[in-house]
Amino acid sequence: MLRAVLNIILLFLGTAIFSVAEAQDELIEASLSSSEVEWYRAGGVALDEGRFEEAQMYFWRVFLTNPDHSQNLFFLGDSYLRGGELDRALEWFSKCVHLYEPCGLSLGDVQLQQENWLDAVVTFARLRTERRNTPSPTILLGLARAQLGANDLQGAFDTASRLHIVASQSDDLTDTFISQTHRFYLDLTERRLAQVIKPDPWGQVTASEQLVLQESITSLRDWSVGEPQDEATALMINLLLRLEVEASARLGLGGNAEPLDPQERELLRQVESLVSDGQLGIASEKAEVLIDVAPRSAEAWGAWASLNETANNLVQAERGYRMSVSLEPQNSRWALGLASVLRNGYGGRRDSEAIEILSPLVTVHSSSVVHRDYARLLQGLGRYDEALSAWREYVRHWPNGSGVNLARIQVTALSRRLEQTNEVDVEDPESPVVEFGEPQWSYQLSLAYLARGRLAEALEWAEIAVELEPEWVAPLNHLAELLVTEKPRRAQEMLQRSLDLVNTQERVSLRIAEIHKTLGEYDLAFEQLAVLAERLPEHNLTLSLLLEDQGRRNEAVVALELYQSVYVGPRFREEALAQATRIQPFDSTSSKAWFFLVFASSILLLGGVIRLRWRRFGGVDIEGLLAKHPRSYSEVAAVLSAMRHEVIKHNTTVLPVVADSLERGELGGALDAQGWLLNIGVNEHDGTGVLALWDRYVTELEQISLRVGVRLNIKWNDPVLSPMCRGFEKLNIYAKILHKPTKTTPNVLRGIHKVINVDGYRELGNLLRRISIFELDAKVVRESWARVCREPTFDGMFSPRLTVVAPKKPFPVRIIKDDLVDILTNLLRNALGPVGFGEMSPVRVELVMESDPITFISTAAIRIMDRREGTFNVEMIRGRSIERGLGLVYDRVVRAGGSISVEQVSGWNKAVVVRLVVVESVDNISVVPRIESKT
Amino acid sequence: MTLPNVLVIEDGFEYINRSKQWMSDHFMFRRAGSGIEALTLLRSHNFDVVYLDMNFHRTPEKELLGDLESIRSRFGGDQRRALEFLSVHQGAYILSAIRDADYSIPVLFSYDFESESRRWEQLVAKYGALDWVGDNAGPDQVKEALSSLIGQ
Repeated sequence: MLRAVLNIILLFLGTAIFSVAEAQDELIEASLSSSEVEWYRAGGVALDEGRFEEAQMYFWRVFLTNPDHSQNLFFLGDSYLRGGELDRALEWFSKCVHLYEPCGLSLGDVQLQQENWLDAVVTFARLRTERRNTPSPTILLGLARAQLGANDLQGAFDTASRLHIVASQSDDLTDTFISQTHRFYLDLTERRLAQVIKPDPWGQVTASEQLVLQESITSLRDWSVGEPQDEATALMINLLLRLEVEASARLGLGGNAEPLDPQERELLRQVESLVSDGQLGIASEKAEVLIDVAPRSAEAWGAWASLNETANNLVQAERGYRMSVSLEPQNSRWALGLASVLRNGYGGRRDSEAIEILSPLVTVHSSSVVHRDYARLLQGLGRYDEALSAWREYVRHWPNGSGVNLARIQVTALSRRLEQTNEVDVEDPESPVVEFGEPQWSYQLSLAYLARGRLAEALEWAEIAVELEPEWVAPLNHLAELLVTEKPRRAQEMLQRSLDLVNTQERVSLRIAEIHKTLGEYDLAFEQLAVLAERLPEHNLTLSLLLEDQGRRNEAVVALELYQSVYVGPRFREEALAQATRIQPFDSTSSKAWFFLVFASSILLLGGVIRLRWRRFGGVDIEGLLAKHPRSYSEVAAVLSAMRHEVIKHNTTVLPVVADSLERGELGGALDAQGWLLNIGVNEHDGTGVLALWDRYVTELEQISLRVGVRLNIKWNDPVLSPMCRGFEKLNIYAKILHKPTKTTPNVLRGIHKVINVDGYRELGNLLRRISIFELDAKVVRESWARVCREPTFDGMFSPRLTVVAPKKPFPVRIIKDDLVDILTNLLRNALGPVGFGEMSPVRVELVMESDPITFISTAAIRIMDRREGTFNVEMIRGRSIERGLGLVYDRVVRAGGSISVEQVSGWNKAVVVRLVVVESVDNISVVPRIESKT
Repeated sequence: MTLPNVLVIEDGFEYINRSKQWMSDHFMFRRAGSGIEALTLLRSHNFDVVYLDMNFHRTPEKELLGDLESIRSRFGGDQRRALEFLSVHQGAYILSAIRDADYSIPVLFSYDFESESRRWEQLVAKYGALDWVGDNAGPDQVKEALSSLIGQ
């Protein structure tokens, strides 16, 4: 009997190990007549052989004579079930549900299949009740599935917990049953998490979230143990890992080598509770006990640090966090705490150290909180470009982070400050919430595997993260770290990709240099550090140390001197002193010399800081200069135009093809480029290399501004020219080593090409188009006329008449308004004059667009016609006929690139015609070539 | 296979040097230093395309094409400014002279017409078979534009 029941249960699971016919053998004799037995057996054979209608007929015959035979009812229902007639099956199973458990199981199964969840709950609950307190795993699984379907998640979870206990005590469960159970556990956990946990996994944790998270982790840990390790189990382990990662971030659950046991955890909870109640003394005593019993628990040290931070005992707080960091370096919580103590406790003096603490986390263990604090610190230290990168990373990769709105604001503010193009969409703070996506999970999973020492899986997930989001630097850096021992070249490639994406990553630059050093590529390491030191001059010391290490003492001294002269911050001061003692001879016995050195250094340091700040943050940009002194426009425009024509054209434009040729292993193009960049062996620029030419134009602009009493800050404070200056500085570095290019040189050249030839060229053109444009219309003519009429000579004496003929749409012309008003005022005054006693000449002004028939250059012609008596010709204007108030007119017109002439017009005495360039091209601005070179 | 012939018209040697350095695998280049020289070469050689600079401020005054008298009149008789105008826009005058001489050869202007769409349309309407590359065009873009004009 039991064997038959078990077999039927297994049938329910789809894995019958005995045939139906065999199963019936032991049942039939007790309660059936001989003919019923025959029909019953024939039905069983037909059922086994898939002849369902025939089976139904035999079982039906038994039913007609023996309607209460529960086994027959079950097989009748089963024959319909196997024949696909679910409703009929349901009907027959319902007739025997109280009589025979397999009927109930089959009934519940059909209800589950039909997603009739509530009826299924009733069916399985009744079966469980009938079993009293010993329900089978099958019943519990059915009930739990029905509860999950009915959205009774807590009920399903309770039943699942009971199922796990019952199943663990059972010896005869099949692999299929266990797999089904595991899949159910997975569904249940994901449904519960989805219902309770908010999409932002790094935000504030509510009590219900905490409960579900911890329950889920505990359950999954239990459930995923044992065999078989099939797909469902693997998925469950995967989910468990994800939850542990999430919990690490949300709850600070360590998950490292020595976690707290339940008693210790309770002690920790007490400490935290006492701290939140303000009972710091007792909390401290308990925390000391906790550390005594769990000295290798990061959480214990973290609690110690936290309470000392609250008590403002910074030394102990720092000690505690440093212990936690050393015990659990991958958990960002401790590094964040330590950074917080350093940042908040020392009035900014230890901000640099805080950055050092967070920097490795940002590089390879990124999270929104780490990024946020890191960005804040950088911003606080005035490292705006790096801060901007960090905030942008935050917005891009943690769009659900709790501080994303703040991050967007910071991106906007810093972009404005740095006058950079904002690459992140900051205009729409209400943009829809984005789920925490697969790239982030893959990355976090890789970290979790790494923390557990499972390198293969960590590598696999890191590769996936990089593949899913190839432009996210954190997984690239992380993958590089995983690869560096076995595949240093590939690691380097990943790091270089990362650096190309965000070029402000100091640690990545250093890592690339380290790998070069490890591979014995010292020249490449030097080069990498030299490039880094251009941006962060403190790394001249790093370069100096490496040079000295390789026995290149003289160069090491030079690099050290660069550190000492250029860098004004606090980093590496002790190391620099030690290095100086080693490689710079100095009479240390002379205390006077020491005093002098310290004094002089202090003065230089202070002066350097002030000078640097003045250099970087003072002054105006080009548009600021023109706002303050509009009449500098023509000179400024001429230089800007020359920058485009004489520096970029034919010169920097070839950088991409030079890069291509380098990649093909051809040096010719690079050597040629080196020649014209640095003026080596060529004479195309009258002895001036292109790089020097650029500097010359920058200087020229600065001189123009100084002449009018304005300080122009092109190198640091101009949205158009500052990035180009950076590009040329970088080009200057690379130009010097073009004859011995490295693997990275082509990409660097392409990067410079983008900055100068693409972005810079476009922005320079836009700037030229933007500046000094005036919309010429009738209004300005009438304003100038009114000004003349108010002059004492004319005011109240006559009633001069003015007619203005102008199109409705104004002409955008290249002139500043003050100059145009001067021109019009003087010419209108000149047009006014007596035509008879007590009469003034009428004046007619026509504004007409003209187009040159060969070049199709458009000009706006201002024709000023009058009947004033007397002679007037263009020579009088060109000869600066001061007595007529025309002294400035010619200069103003020429300065605007326009022309002036006197023409005869029928019905009028004369027409003075001023022609101004209609704005279409930046190239019309500079009619006088700036430098005798080319184009 | 014979390479297409390109007539480079410029007042210096930058175009011809860069072109020969970076595009000699694709084209044969020959240079003319002025409009007059270009017309002479066009009469004696077969070219597939012209690569034309706009600004010819290094070309001697006497070799500049264009009606100096009428331009001087527009500038109120100022000879210096009229000459400046002619040299700065000489490319357009050379183009006009090429078409007046009945050469329908395609012409690639080296000049940034990006913000002068109306002017560009007028030039194309009058002179036909034209294209342009801006000052920031590298050899690859020039090569592509020349090939496109030739119909390769």
